[in-house]
Amino acid sequence: MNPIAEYLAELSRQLRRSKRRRILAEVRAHLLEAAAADASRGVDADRAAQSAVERFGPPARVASQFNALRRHPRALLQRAAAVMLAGAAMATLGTATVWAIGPGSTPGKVHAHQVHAHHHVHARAIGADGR
Amino acid sequence: MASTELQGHLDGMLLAILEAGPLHGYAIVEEMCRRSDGEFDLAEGTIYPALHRLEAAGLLSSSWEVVSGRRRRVYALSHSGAAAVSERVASWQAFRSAVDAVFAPIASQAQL
Repeated sequence: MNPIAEYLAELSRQLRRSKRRRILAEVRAHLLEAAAADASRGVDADRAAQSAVERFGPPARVASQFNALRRHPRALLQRAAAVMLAGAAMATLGTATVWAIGPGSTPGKVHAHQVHAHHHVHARAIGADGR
Repeated sequence: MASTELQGHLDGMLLAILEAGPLHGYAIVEEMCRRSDGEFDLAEGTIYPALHRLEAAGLLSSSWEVVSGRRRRVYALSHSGAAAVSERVASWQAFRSAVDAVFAPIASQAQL
């Protein structure tokens, strides 16, 4: 088997499902371009493919770097921010509804509810980040 | 350069290279090698997880493009990526001058 095909097969075995196809397509394009560049400088095609694979680094290491991405704090922070926004929107909606329902409700009560909702969402966000 | 030291600055350097215009992964590696005069010949595979992370963070965007019959994933700096790169350059310069100041007595001895 060609060193590049072998490398891609090994990488594919070690990658998680998420974005596997895109990653393999990108890595394949890189290895083919690297090998072609060497071959155009007169390097034997097999050696060029072998060297491209070696320069890329061990498939296990590349796969583990990709597999670690899903748990990256930045992505979790973004998710937490979305949760907070949704929570804030819901709290606002709740307040609006209570105000709309009527004169019987006391603003003080609404305010307490809002603070509580916000606090709750914030606690969830911290939990998500710390995982 | 030690790969751990390089790894710590990889994100910033990737952003800096893309500041000059969109490029695909292979061209980024070549440019890194060229700018560093061959000093940074990192394992080429390590740039891709970094590029994907920067994209997930909204600092880069990417799309497939066909260039001379080859399909390539091309990366471009986003608005927040452009802001991030100036911040990183500024913080690196502050860090570098602080390290230089600490090393200064030994460095001047070495020159004698």
